[in-house]
Amino acid sequence: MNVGLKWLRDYVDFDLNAGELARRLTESLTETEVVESPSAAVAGVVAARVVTVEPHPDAEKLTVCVVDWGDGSGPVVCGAPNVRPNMITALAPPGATIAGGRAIGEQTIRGRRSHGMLVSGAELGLAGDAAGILDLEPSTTPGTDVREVLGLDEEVIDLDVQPNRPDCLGIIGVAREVAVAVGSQLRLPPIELREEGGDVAGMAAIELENVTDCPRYIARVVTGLTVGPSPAWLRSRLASVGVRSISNIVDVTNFVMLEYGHPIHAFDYDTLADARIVVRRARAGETLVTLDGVERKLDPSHLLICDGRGPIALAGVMGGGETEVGEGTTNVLLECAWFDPVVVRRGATSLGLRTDASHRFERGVDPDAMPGVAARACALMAELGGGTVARGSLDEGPGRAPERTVTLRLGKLRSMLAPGPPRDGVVAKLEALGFDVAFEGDDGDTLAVRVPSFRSDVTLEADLIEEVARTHGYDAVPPEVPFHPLTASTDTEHAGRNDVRETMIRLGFYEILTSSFMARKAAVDFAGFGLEGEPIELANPVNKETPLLRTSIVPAVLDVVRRNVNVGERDVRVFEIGKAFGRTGDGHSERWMLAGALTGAAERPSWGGAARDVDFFDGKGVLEVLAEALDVDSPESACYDGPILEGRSSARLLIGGRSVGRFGMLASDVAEEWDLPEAVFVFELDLAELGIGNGASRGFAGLSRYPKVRRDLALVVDDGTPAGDVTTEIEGAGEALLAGVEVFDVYRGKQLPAEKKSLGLTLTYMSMERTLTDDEVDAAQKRIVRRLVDRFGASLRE
Amino acid sequence: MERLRELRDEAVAAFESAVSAAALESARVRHLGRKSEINQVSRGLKDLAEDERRAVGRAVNELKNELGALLAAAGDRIARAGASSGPGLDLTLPGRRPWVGRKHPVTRTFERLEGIFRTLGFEVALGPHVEDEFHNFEALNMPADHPARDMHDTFYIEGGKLLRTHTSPVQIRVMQSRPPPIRIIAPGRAYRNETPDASHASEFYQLEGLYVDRDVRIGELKGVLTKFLHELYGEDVGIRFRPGFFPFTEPSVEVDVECRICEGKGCSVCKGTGWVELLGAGMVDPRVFQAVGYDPDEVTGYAFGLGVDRIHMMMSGVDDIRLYHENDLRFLRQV
Repeated sequence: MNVGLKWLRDYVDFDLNAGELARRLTESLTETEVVESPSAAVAGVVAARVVTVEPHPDAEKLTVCVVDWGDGSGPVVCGAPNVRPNMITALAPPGATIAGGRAIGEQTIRGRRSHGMLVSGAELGLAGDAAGILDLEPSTTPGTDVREVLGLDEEVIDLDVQPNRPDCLGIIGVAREVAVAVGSQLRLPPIELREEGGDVAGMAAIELENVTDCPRYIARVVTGLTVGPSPAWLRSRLASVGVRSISNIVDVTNFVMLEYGHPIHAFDYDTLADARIVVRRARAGETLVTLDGVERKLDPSHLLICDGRGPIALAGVMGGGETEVGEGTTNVLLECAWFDPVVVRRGATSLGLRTDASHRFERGVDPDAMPGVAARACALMAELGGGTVARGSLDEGPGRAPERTVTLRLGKLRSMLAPGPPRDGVVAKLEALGFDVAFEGDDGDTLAVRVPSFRSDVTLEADLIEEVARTHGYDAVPPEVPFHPLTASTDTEHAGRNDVRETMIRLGFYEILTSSFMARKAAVDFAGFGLEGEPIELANPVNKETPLLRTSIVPAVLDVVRRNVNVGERDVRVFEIGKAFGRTGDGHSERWMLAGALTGAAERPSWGGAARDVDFFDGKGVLEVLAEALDVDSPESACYDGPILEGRSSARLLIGGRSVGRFGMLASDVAEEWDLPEAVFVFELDLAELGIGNGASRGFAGLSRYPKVRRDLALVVDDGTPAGDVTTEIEGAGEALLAGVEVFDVYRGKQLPAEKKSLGLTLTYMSMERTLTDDEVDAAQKRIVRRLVDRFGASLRE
Repeated sequence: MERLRELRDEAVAAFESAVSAAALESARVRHLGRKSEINQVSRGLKDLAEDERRAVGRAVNELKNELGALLAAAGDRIARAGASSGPGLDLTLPGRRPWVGRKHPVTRTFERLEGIFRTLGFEVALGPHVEDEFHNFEALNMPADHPARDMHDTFYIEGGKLLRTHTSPVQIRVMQSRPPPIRIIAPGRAYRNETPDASHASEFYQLEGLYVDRDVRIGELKGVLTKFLHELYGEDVGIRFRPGFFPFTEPSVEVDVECRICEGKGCSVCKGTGWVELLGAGMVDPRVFQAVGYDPDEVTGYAFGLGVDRIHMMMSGVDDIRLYHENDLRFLRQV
């Protein structure tokens, strides 16, 4: 909401400049800024009278004028279509500056000397008005600075008016707040309405189909008007807040709306069929051409103003073209109405037509101010258009502001604002804001506060506390740092996810955060990953390419890999901890997932020779170390031959038989389709299934004071025998002294028969009680080897 | 004689700057070798007059002795350097570096904020991203068709569900689940149906706070948020509490901090005001307590919320919020 300071001073006195006022209102009402005016650079432009207009001898579209600028006169070449003798316009003489900082000099145009130029409103930074040169009031004295004439010196502030304060969408409402902020008095405009015409009751009739949609409708009629330009004071008021001047009558409706915050509308009375106003819902299929020339298709959600024939305006949103006030208009029917906020909001939203009027009606207008608003507008129209106001008004509908008294307990106020202002200060602020305050009970500590009709937002004691708090100033509330007992409880899953993140960082992965939205193709391609079940569909996606909630994070992770490879990164190790979503029966589920990818070199590039590219075991190792660091059961891998992953080198991750996720090398056809490097390892785990953050600990098993003994074993087995089966067999052999087994070598080659491989194993033995002897270790090792020979047909390699 | 002094200085400089045995050897050949100028001077002695021959001869011998000693010292120096590092070892080569990872800047900011609020006694609470009208809007005093919803362009999904437009529904869920006192923060992702640009993202990050107890004062809200901002920006940062509007708090305040870019003088980041809006806050609206079944006459409380990505932008000078979603490693390494 833009407010010109000069205009504001019509209603309240204050001794502050724009910056100071903006700061004060920011502290007491809402964020307020000083508006930088596009006219700020204008200097030296003066009012001037056009004396004669002659065609330019060498240019068809130009004229050569003799212009009188008060203390001199001279020729000016002009191209405006509206230039005419005797008009008062604006001259930018040599040395002047116009909007945008453009300096004007003496010039010669097509061979004729021009003493500067005649300027349009746009050239002075005013809204609109680029078509012709300025047409100033005939009474303006040539030579007067146009800054003064047009009010360009007006300082303007912009208030961020919140949805609960429609009263501040009018300058009077802002002036009331200024008065409270600076300790001054609000001055309401005088309304000098002379009703000298006939009785309005004989001139028009109003019919409300439904008083819920339109609780109150006031109409007045003004006759014998002459539509013409507005006087300078009105144009400069409107210009100061960026509203274009149209005509005296239309300008009055805008002026009064900006003054009171209540939108009003003027119809050309003579175009109204049967002189009737009907407020009703649109019928399916009805149309209306609005003032902006667009034909609007209507349905029963739209509220209309109709005449005896059909729709003439979209109630509370925009008027229609047919009944618009124009040059030939002499009689006007003025509408001042109260429309239901929700109906206006839905209608305006469905048509994509948010206007100054709908903005205000949506937030609620003051029904009790309506008679005054209508009278003010008619008085101004009669004054500026030379018309006669008909006697009385048509006033339909029962809508009035509800009487509302809210109790304010000063004890409550003080407990919240501690210490809070004294009682007299509370009462004074509330009264200055327009509330009536009475005392309830005997203790003088309970106030009965009557809420004025323009403050429909105040319904609870808390609302009154806010009024006191903000006008009193939040600076006055002393900050307290209370002592709170520390909370013991912590979200263990949240903490568990933090552990996962820390571990991945330590493993050299960058954390990424990607979109929760997913493309349809990705959902199909990556159906094997993430959550089971159908993806959830957005009703109104912001990007039509990604209309689904992601069932898996993997597609987004691969997008990140590609993006980085495309800008020249070779080694990409990234992960995300985020939510995936899926449909489950009638409902939906969302689960925390860990997804990631690695590609490029297996080790960080160094001078010791190029490292090999990552393979399946680099990725698998990451997941194993993750499990180790998180102290969850070491996962088992199972073969996974679903889509996307290369069947030979991909697996399902199982813990205790439950599937926790998938991992493996991306299938080459997928890598190609996604424009990814050849070797990319991807993984996705369900963090809840992983069992992180369950607080379980293995417990302390004690430390042995005796040394470990190692024995290596080279075991020849069939090539198809999984190493995991061999180590499981060894661990399950029931040898009490065996502390661990590691695979240190896998060999196939010419020293071995075909279809055979050699596994190099290190077995570790340890006792908690004593130093082991070679004999007992050899015996245990022998028993294990025998077991392996029996189970796998293994032999020891010589 | 003058020339001898010059030859001496050249030779000394060459010996001292030699870094390898090979370099020293070539310096020796150049300055003391058979074809060196000094040697030519020696050989030319016989052509000189006797007086002169004696004087120059002595000078040349002294010079040769001196340079010989310097040569030996330089040889020792080079040999010592070689011995202490072994043959062929170049200490200036970079070390073998393990991979190193990094958290996303949004995560780091969350951790920082959570850490501060934990020390102030707040616990972490989380809620679903897929929400319903009741928790996201109605219980927060934002009925359908309320103009305040203009600021909450919402993503809807089937069954009337929606993606939460803020982290505030977590307040509602926590209050529904247990009685006061409650002191939580709710970090997480929120969604708004806005076309992304440099300062708007359709997915963004918030941190919500809620404290509910008996007789909670606005001064406590000020105190806790002041403490928080002091932890974040230092004790000397300017802080301003001013009126605001949120449907679920009454009174509502906005909290500004002094612009870190211009230190309050006014710049483009703070639009010349010297202040940057950082938090929205207020006393919980009694209608919110009613919606969750609390008695508004019995309990009071405060709530606050802030944009986590925005806080990081302000601290780091990142000027495009979309960078946080692109996950360009060059960005993640920098910020």
